[in-house]
Amino acid sequence: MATRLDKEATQDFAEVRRHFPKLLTIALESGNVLFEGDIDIFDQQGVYWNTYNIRITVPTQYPRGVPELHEVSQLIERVIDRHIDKDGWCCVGVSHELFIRAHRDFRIIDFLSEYAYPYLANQSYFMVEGHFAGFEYKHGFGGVIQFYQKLFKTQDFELISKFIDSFLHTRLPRYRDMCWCGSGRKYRKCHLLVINELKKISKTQLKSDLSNFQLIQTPQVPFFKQFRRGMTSIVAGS
Amino acid sequence: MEIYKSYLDNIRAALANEIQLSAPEVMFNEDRKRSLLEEQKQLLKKTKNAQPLPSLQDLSSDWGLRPALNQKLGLHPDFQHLKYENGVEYHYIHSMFIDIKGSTNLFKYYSPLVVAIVTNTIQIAAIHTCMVFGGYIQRLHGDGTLVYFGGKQQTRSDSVQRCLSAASLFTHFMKTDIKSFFESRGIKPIYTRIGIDYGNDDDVLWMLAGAGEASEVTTCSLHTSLAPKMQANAKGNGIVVGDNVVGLFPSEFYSPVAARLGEEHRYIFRNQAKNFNYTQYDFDWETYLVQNEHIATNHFNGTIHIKPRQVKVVQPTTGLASIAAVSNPYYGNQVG
Ligand SMILES: [Zn+2]
Ligand SMILES: [Zn+2]
Repeated sequence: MATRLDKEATQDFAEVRRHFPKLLTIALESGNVLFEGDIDIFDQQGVYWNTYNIRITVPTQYPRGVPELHEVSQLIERVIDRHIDKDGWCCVGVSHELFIRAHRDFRIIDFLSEYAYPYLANQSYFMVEGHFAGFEYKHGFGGVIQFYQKLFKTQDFELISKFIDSFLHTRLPRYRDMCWCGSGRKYRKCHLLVINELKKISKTQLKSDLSNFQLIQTPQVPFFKQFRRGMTSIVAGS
Repeated sequence: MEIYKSYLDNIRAALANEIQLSAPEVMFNEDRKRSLLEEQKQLLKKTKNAQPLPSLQDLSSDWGLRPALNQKLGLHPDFQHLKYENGVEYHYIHSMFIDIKGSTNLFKYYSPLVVAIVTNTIQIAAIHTCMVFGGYIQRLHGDGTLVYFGGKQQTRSDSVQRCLSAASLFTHFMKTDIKSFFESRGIKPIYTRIGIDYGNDDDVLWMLAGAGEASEVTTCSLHTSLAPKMQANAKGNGIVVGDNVVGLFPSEFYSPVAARLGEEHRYIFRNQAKNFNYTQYDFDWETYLVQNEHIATNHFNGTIHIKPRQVKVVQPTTGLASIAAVSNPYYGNQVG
């Protein structure tokens, strides 16, 4: 880290300490920085709920990059439905969304207030209510689909894949063309804004998502064929 | 803080009562006047309660403490035998001197009875806080209180923490609740100053002072004498501690008083013949409190709370839901 950034980072870390006095900064020999300690959960009425012992890994390219949250106290049951892995790694959101967020400065205090704290508050909520308070993404690729559906504001897989494919091969519509989504608006005023977000996601990720999309769309064909074949055999048997 | 609620309520009631007394319709209504004054007397009596008020009782259960509530001034239970033997004994102790400042100003606004309720409630809040943390009230000097922490039932390291916790919580009460209470009424707030020192086994002599009924079991020690002296050097709502406290409980929470008041205030005591220089330190009780395992900090507004030993299961989740719903968790194997 450059000296200027070091100074910024030091200020950021001091701010974390002001809000969360039990989170201590630990500088590892490797040069990486961790936060370790307690986060107390209070709700909007100032009611105390519980305290999690956590660890946050600060990315080396700070303030860019995505911080990671680990829950150390083991208050959260280690099952995937709680969105946590066996090592306590917390899935605070879809990685795509986090990468888009980290495209501009992603300060630790913002990571805490936008992701880590709501995630932990949500876990406290789950402990009482037996379910989460808001929307949760499906596990695995299902959640990635939901992410793209939200981003593109459409349920249409085919349209989403078409956009991703075209983006990867720079075959996008021209600014003045009508948008492919059928909104009746010019591309420049419609899905161009979404395409600009795609630029913040790595190409490797986009390629892998695209091939996953194509896998999902194709199964319908063999299934349909199977169905037809079944029909034929019924007809043949009669 | 919730734990001091009943104390603040007491003060609030006295002030509300005073306002009613000065209302024109009451001034000429002798019956009403008498009943309001009677209420004030009852409030003053309430402050004299030997037991911590309900709000502070929660503290002892949440902190897991066994308070020493049945006390007789000037007769520390571990050393009371000295009264009958008229003997002496060396034993370590922590001495804390708590002073309540700024009460004179209150006479400008309130009758002596109301001033008595305010100052008494605050002093009793200090006393009860110390008792809850196992402190022993040795002596009252007007608005000042001398308290001992430690003795034969407690280790030095436990008692130093309890002593610092009691001082910090009470100071927090003064700096938040009491301060804003008076400021909101346009009155210069009452505040506290505390001095704390530790004397080890070689330096504290326990003995009977005075004679007959006018006697007390007390300590003869430089470090007990230094506590009120250091108190005088504390800032408003501040705590000053001696070298020995720092030695017993080393931490990042101390800074020499010299940094604030100048080099001539570095030492609270010097014996040049023996080349003995005893340093006084400001104790950063605010940081100490928020780092304490029993304290939770609300990051939205910075207020502190005592962690309950068990969270009430019945609390409604509505206030939590709005924060929790911001989170859209996910589980995937493509970890970034
Ligand atoms: Zn998850
Ligand atoms: Zn469009």
